[in-house]
Amino acid sequence: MSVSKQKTVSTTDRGTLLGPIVLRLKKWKRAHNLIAVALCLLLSFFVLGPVWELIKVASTYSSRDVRLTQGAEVGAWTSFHFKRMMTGQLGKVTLWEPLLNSIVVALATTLLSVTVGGILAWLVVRTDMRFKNAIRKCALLPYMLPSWVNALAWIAVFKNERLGGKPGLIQTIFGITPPDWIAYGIVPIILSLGLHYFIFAYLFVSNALESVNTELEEMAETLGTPRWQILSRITFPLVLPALGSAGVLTISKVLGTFGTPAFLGLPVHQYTLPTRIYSLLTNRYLGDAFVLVLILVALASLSIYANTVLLGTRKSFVTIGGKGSRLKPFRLGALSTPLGIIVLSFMVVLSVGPLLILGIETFMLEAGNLSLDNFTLHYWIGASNPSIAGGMPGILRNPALWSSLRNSLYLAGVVALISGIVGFLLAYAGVRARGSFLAKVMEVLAFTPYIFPSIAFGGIYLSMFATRQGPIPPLYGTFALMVLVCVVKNLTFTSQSGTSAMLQLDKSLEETAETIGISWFSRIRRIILPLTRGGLLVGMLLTFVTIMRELSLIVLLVTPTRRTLTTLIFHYEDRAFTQHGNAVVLVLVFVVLVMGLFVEKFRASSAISQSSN
Amino acid sequence: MKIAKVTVLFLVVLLICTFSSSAKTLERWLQSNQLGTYYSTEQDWDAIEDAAKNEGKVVVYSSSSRIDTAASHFMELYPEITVEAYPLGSAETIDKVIREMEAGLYVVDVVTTGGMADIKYELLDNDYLFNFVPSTYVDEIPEEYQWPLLYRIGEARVALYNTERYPDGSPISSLWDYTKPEWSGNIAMADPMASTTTFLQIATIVQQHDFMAAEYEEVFGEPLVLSQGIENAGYEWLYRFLKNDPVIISSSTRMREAIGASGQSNPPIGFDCLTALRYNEANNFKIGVADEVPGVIYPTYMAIGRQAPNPNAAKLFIRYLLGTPELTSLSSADLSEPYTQGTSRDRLGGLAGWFDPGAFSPRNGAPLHPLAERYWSAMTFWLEDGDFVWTEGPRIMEFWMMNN
Repeated sequence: MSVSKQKTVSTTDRGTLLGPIVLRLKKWKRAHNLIAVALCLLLSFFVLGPVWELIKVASTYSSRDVRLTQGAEVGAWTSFHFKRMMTGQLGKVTLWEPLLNSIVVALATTLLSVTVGGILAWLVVRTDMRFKNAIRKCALLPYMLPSWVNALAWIAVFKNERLGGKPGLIQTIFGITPPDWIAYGIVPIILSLGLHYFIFAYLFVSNALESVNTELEEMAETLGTPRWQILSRITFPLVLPALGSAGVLTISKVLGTFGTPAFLGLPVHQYTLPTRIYSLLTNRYLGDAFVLVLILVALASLSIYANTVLLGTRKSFVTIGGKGSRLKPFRLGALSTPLGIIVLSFMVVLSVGPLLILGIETFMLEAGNLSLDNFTLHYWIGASNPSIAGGMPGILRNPALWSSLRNSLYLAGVVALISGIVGFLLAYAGVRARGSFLAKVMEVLAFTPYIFPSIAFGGIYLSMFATRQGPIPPLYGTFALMVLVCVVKNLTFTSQSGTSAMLQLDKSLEETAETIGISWFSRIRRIILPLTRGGLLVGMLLTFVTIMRELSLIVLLVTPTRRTLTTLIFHYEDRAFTQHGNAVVLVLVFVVLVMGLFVEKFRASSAISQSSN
Repeated sequence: MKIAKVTVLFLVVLLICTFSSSAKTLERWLQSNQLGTYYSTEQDWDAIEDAAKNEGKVVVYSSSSRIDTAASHFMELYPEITVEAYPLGSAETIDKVIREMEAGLYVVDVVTTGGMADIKYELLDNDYLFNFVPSTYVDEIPEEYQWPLLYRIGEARVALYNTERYPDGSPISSLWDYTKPEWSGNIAMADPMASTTTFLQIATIVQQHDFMAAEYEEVFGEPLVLSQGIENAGYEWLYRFLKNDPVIISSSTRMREAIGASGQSNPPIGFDCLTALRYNEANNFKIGVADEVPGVIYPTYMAIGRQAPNPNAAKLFIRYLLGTPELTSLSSADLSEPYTQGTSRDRLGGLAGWFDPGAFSPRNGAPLHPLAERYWSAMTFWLEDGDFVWTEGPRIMEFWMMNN
């Protein structure tokens, strides 16, 4: 603590009884405390407000309910929506079946991705498998892509004639009609999500394997313990927290995901909670939808709670111990090369395959027709032709592409900037006030949006800000609403990345500056910002990439003029403009990849390793 | 302290003003634009046109994507006025208007969409929309097409089949055919939870339960026995229809393709707009109309949004959408494909984009598409009933969700 500062303060107030109190007040008024108080108030409104809105709408009658039940009084409290959604045939199809599907998808996807990601991480970090560097590079690509790219590629390959239109590649090339359960529904949903989200498990586990203390393993090795036993009895338990964190992150992402189950499930009427919520909200069954949202939030909370109880940790990422001496890599022997080839081709297929399939499809006049004269540039640069896709011109000639590209960049940019500032302030106040009550409140508030599945969060914000909220005017259809929902939903990540940047900096630096009387603004500008800039920038760029590929969160909020690339893709795919949609996917991927390269560059240069959300 | 007090006072005054003035603002807007209770058929079109050009812009929400065709023609006729047209689909158009109006965002000038139930009870009754019938054509339009909302066009939803697969005529002649086992899994339709017009058709069939009961006897030669818990022949039809595994295709483009694409061995039957026939030529589809199965007529209405920022441009655009003055003196022989280009477009005006077999203009004597007359005159059509859909609609929607 800055002793000399206290002295100066007390000398000015010498002789008055109020001295100690004034002293306290002055201390209280210090910048980071003020920031903490302001942030707590702001976050309470934007984080706890939605919780209240959710409960209120689910438990009161709306004007629509008057037609469904007698004696309904608009605004009165009721369990009407809960009863409706939980009982009878309606409950079965709108709640219980989607709930079961959601749970099955979440668990199976997590199991698949943790298994694939865990094995991959072990192979890459702990064995002498070949082509490890190439595999590492490939693994980063799926992380950059939206989670539903796999779903679109799946449809292009496995589509059958059930839904009309032209069949997929399998049927065209081999003449085999894929059955419905392979073409659509739960199985492909699990596969396409699992083969996207395994990247979390891979990143978490490989990080853990690299930083875990290897002493135990070394000792066991010296004692002649068999390798598989070391693996199962020592290594596995050591990375279990990382696996658990990856699992919880995957479960909560999958529970809230909308794109993949919409593309693959709706054609065969297999709903998950997010797609059912979407359908109810678009038909304005708000109260019913929010009952489902409450259940979805409860599920997500449950998975986080289970993780805390089982693994005794709530942080999304744990590093165990310091770096020990490097363990000898596990010798694969003769398998080293073939296994390397297999894993590398697997990774190439996973990362480049979907894009390649979608890319080829954009050049085909009729999807699924492989004859040479069917190849065309129409969907990229063609002028309007009434007999193709309702006369919609190729995307590069289509103003819709440019306006949504602009919207996407603008949204991602503004959100990244605001998140950067908020994250900086959160981290600054949090680190400086570490351990205080305020810091704990801030931490809880910043964590809360994490338990809300994306689609649910979007739905609540839509309902909450449709009317005036205190000083905030109605925000329906505005850009501000989209920015707001993205900033708040990403708070958890923002504050984490801000904190990890802030922790690079020793507290005493600022305190020294404070002691010699440098003002708060100068301290921030001259000392703190320059030293944390690298970490903050990486955080902002990652936020930018996240928002660029966001669909679930904003699909309910977007109006046609504010369409982003992702919602334009959803719009096209929904209306069977497959090739147009796929072409936009490629544009999106291109933009995201360019940004991703920046991230890598900055990350390398700022030399800050941090967990990525 | 003084500053704080003044600020609080100012905010309170501001708040009171905002709330009390909204009713007055609306009244003033209606009065100055001759809408609502101030509507009159004495309209000064020179003044409207001048004012519209001054406004310079008109924002249109439309259920039909063909609004773009009309918008670009309108901008050629009135280069001073920019049309911002948003083809949103019927459900989204209504949803968007409700949300914006609830939020106090008065940004839309012209709303044109179908679905009388929601339009009447959620938009008209809440003063979110105001009807406007241009005096120019008021004598040419039957009263029932003018109020409570002006028809832009009337369209029909009908039963469809593939003419290449069934060259001798429709394989179905009754709605009950859709419940027969030979069509199980081979029926294509749009999702009524996403498409207002599809829902209208379902609801209207349920409403016609007496007809459905009588027809069942005709088709099967025995009286209909209702399943447990089902109250009438309309719901019974819907129940059996859904048990027959219809394929719900979210995109209407893809659904038409499923029914109409040539070279299929076993194409499905289905429902769609009569307008689907226009794809036969453009996409080499083989869509035929099962003309013994009753169709449902659903009008697309148009009206001016509450406190529209460009009310005069809105009026001008609505008048344009009704077609040209010479429209009623034309016959289909005066027009040729493509109707959206050249002299045909100039003669049809705002109707050009919708001059196809599936639509009719509300104006007496307006030409019908050459292919259209036989359907309009020979078929049985039921007209959508907004009141029925409003009161019974939520139950029908629930019934659909439960049995689908």
